[in-house]
Amino acid sequence: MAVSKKKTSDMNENEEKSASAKAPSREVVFDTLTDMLSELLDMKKSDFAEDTMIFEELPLDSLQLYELVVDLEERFELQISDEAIEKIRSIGDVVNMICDAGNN
Amino acid sequence: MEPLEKDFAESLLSIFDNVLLTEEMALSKGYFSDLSIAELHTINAIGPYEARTMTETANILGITIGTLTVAVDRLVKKKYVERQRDTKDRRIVRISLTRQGKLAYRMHSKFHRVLAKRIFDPLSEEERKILTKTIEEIDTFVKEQYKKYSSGEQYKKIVRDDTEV
Repeated sequence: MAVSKKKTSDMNENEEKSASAKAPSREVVFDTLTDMLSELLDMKKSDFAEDTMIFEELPLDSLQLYELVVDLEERFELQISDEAIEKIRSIGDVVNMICDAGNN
Repeated sequence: MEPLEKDFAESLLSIFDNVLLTEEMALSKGYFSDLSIAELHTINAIGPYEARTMTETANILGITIGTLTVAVDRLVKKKYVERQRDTKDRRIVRISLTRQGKLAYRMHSKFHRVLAKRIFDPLSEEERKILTKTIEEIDTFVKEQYKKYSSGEQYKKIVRDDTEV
């Protein structure tokens, strides 16, 4: 699976269900993501929209991209594969990816 | 040795050397210049997600726990790895990557993916299958040789047996 909800070894079945029940809303994901991007790139939050193309429009280098991925994994308890990263084009794609993983 | 076989043997040796050299160069000029190749491979074996025990990690790397302990001590000091006690069994120590360790893991795996993509891109699906199968066979053979040498058999006997083939 390209993006999956992180399971901890101590989690039982009920805890897994309640973890996925707490899937973040689209607004929360967008807000968190743009917070991270504005800190990482020293830009204003208002500079980002769902249709902002990450690689074409933002000055994001590969280390900053991985910083974003590692922070998103930590914040939303996800595992994001390299294949999933390669499919990302816009900020909206990242939001979709995180929301979809939370609903699985 | 036939000319083609000779060329192949030379290319193979050159790949081994140059991949390592390039990795080392990329490291020294990049964001993680305080890491050695061996340390990066330890980071790779620990992996970015679940914390591992020392035994699991030593097995993946094919090294002793003593050797791994020295490597992990150094990586803890450099803030790439952290140790924590198991919540259920306090005797078990687990190791995992810090944020910095996860970044080094991601950047290193990118190097290998770019290399694989460059080799794969011009090939047809059939050629990719043949190449992957051949590489897997080489990998199995090299691992068998490693096992032979590390199993305690006499080095001279192995060399003698191999040259008799």
